[in-house]
Amino acid sequence: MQRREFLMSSAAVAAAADQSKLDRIAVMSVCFAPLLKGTARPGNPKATVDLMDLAGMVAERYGIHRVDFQQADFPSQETGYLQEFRSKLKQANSQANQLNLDFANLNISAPDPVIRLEAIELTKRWIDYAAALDCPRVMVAHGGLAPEVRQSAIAALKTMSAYGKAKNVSVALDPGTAPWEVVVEVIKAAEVGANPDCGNFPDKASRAAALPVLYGMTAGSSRVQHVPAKFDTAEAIKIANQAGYKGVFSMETSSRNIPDPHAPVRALLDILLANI
Amino acid sequence: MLRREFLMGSATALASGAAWGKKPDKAKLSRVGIMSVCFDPVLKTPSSAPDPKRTVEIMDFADMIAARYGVHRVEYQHTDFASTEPAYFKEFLRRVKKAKSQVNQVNLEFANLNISATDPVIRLETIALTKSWIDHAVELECPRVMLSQGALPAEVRQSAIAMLKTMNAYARTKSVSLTVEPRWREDAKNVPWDVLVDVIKAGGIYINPDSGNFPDNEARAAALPVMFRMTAGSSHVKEIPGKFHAADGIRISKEAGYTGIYTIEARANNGPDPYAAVKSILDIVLANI
Repeated sequence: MQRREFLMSSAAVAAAADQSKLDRIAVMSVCFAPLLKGTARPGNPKATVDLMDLAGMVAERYGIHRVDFQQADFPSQETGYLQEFRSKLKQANSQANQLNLDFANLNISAPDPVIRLEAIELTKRWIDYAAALDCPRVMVAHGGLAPEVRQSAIAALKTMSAYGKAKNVSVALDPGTAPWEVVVEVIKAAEVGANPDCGNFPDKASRAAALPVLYGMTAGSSRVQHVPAKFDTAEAIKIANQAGYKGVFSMETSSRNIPDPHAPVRALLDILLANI
Repeated sequence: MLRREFLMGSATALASGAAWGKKPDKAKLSRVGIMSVCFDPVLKTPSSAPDPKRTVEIMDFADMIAARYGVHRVEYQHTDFASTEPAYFKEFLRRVKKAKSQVNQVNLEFANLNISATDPVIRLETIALTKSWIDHAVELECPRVMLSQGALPAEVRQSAIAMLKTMNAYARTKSVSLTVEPRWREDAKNVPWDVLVDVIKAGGIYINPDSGNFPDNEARAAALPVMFRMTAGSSHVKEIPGKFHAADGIRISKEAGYTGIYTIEARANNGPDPYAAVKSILDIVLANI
């Protein structure tokens, strides 16, 4: 897309869209992975966007001012880098909506107490980074929540959550691949938030049963995907509305093997604007 | 050993100096530390399964060492700690102080995380976790943190140095020194000692000389004089029967002008009884420093 076309398109989006609806929408950095320097495959000529400029690009192009980042996106965690990052977010009138943490081999389901402590330590560190970025949420990986580790996982989550509360940062959990009832049980016991993701269910029955419950226990944000062959996104948003959900819908699209990562974002945004 | 037996034994040893034949030199004892790993078979640690042989609570370790050996410097592995909450460390420090002791060094060995990682995300996780433990060292009033260097192959050496610099910049703001020790195992990829020295110099940190961690006497004799001049004030001392005498390492350190701490690291090859194994190395240290 040429810059002129892009500006016209952005202006059209901004003019047409209800800003109050756009304020409830975020986009995940992973949607633009092929365009991001440092995240795209080496040598990809499309990788022209610095992570620091992503919020600006999203704001300008879509009128969206919330961005979810992966912990692995950040090339540095030094104070100077995070200050500059926060300054770029503010410049775009944007906010880091959530930091998604997925540490190598470290999560709350680890049977080894030393590994669980390391997961707690790193999470605390990222809660500090979230606070430095004015980001209100971190999402942690649950690692499966097998029965034999569930109580220790709950204890680990409670420790993380207590630290998060002291920093005004919420800790959230995505159902992921664990049975949703188990995740609900753990979220309740640990008093953390759910991050509902309408795409993460094995079938329609479990999605229909789980989403009303999960949307009633969020930390203010959720994930929305568009996989027409698998489920109806509009129907999932309807469930959120019926559950009284007033929080953020953060878009997650696949950017693999497609010529233009913007196209699926645009398609999902249209669905959201039509249904929230 | 039952707690009662332990207390009686300690009291007797201290009162009569029987453990040494005569009362030990306090100035010498103040230059000695003891590592928790020496007592691995009897320590209750977070990862250890319930075992009647494990009778020593980690919070009682400093007290046991002080009472039994008159040594007031103790060194822990990061895996020894059951919690990393401020209240836990506060109580831990209270217990260490009650024994009139000091945490000499905390040794970090994170699973899969070290400065030789090729993945930049893993490298950042290593830095973040190390920073947390530097903060914990401050909570424990501990002046040193020892890192794990991995295999330091040539292709990661520059990123490893960059990491050390980042960690060290943070540690300096907290008045904590970072160290790395030479390591050598027959079944591992080992870092040549001169490479380690180069990386440590470039990273601006310190060496924790370990007289037992060399493939042969030639490497040991060449490396130790260099390493004992690059310390943060502490070192490890081993006695490896049939391979290496602690006294030789101490002699080299003295010739290098080293005036710091010798922390005892006894292992299974020093005998089945960890109390006796530590005592045997302590005797060597006291006789030679």
